[in-house]
Amino acid sequence: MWQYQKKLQYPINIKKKDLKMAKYLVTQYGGSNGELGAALRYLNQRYTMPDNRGKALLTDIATEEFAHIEMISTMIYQLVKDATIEELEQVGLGSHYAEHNRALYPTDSNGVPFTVTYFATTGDPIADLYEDMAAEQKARAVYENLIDLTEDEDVIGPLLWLRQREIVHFNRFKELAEIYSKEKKV
Amino acid sequence: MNYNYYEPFNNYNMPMSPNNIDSLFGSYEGYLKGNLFKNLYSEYKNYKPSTIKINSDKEELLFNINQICFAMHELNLYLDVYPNNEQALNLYSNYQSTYNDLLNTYQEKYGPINNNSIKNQIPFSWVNTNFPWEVE
Repeated sequence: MWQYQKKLQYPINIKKKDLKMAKYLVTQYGGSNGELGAALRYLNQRYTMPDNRGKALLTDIATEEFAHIEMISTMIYQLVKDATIEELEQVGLGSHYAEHNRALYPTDSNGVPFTVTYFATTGDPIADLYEDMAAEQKARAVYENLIDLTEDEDVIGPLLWLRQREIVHFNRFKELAEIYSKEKKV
Repeated sequence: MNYNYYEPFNNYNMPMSPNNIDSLFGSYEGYLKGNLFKNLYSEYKNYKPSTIKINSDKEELLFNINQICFAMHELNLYLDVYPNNEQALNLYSNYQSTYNDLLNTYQEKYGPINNNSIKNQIPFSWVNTNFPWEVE
């Protein structure tokens, strides 16, 4: 089971409204390389790992991804909070307003809704762990693209931090994949 | 007012092991960087990790909980892959008691972080304290 902790993994304190950035940022929530896809990818893959190392790692990283969903959601919420309808329309978020008002909804930067086709479960631990490594690298690259798109330090700080998490997760998956290969676990 | 960061194991260096950890950042530096492992840390362009502004005793305590919690989580992920690494486990255990002390102090003073440690007090403090996405 899961238990909520009433705190963010890393503090978010954005003072400046920036609707464009919110529109870009949402892809790390509901885009193909986003945190929601990562969390669900790992949770679905963990049942068919060959031993408890894989089950533990996928459970623990998936759990951390939920904390990252909360960070990204918090950033979007704070960036959009005081926007008028006119301002939302100006950056192309009028259609978001029509469907969702100011509520969060997982999409990519183009407004395409989240879909489970963004991730795979093959039942083959090596194939799944290599998918996870690729997913972490793609998420790192998207964080870099997002950092390039803003000059707000309150936004850059958390994005740099989340980028490092992708690097650590990538390496843990890589180490486990190499161990499984060497031990001929699969 | 000066706020102190609790950093019980700063500059703790793990000797080179077959598992490719050469050394770790202290919990403070590791938390700011988002990465406890010196061999895995890599900067993007010339960006430096953000410093976190602490404006109150409450924020200071939460920061300290977060940095210890982060170090423990990093060691947890490491131990998932290398469950026989005694150095990592010892370090994890050292952080554990600090974490529990800080968490208890915070929850006693400022309200629940976990919903199994809520005081018998009206109004129900789980509802009566801010959610973390709200700016205070």
